[in-house]
Amino acid sequence: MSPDAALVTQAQAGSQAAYCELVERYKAKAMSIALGLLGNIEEAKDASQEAFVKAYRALARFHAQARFSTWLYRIIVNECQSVLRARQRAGRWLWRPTAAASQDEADDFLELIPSEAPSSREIASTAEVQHELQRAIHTLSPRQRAVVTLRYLEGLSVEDVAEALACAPGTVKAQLARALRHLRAQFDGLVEEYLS
Amino acid sequence: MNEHRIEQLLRRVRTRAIPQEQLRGYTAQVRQRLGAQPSTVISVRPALPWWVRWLAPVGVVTVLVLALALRPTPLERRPLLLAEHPLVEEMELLSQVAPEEALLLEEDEELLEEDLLLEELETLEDMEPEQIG
Repeated sequence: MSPDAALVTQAQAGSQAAYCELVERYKAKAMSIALGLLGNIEEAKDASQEAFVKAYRALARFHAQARFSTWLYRIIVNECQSVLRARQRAGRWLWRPTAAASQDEADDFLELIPSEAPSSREIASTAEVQHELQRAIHTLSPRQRAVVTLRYLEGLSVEDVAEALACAPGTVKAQLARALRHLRAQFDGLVEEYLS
Repeated sequence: MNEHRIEQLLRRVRTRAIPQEQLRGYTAQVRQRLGAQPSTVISVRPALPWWVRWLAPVGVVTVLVLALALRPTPLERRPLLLAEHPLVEEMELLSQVAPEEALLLEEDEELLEEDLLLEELETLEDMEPEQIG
């Protein structure tokens, strides 16, 4: 039995306290995924909280065989994609950091740091790479963005990404390949410099 | 540069941990949102029996098929019925008659009508006034 299973069972029996314990466990991850997909901390907070509410409402339909985490990620991704669609309808398909945006807000937007101890050169180039990566990831389709965010930025396995997105692992691999091709076109030159 | 290099870059970067101040009060806000939901969220209505769920779409499809099958056929789509119409038969007969004969037929018809009127008038003349009423 997974560590979440007992809490899920209690929540399914009507314990809001048990569910809030699950929220406490997954809030950071939920926010992180939503931020990766939406690029705005306020929207990410709202979307992830809405996802928790929707997951609570649908808890009766959750099967114990599945993992709560991937089930929740799927709801978060769906919620974020609804936000993106609404944004598209409102004519703001591409989120672009503007000069008017505060430094804090710019930092909120998918701020990236090397996962290992950085060298001084890496630190110097990180800001530039961050900016390019933000821009490039947000030119991907919502589906590809979800795949890239879950796979690379959140470190999920291909199988977990597939489970979270309710598709086959092969589809995830194909989406990743397409996304990488797209990113390569956006990144030419800069990556060479960063990785050399 | 190939995709592998991009993959390498993406692996070397991670989304920054969400600042703690952004997560402060997060669970309480979710709890508040949950509180706005009906208290019977978990005790959902029991699912309908499988045969009811199965019958519903089948019933809708059946009604649609029947409605399509039984709808009145447009006139142009039933030539056989149209051909059976007395007017059509009459027109066909007339088309087979030579124009001169057709005129004669018309005259005959007029004469016949006149004869009938005369007959009727004669009958009326023979009748007593009380009988006419």
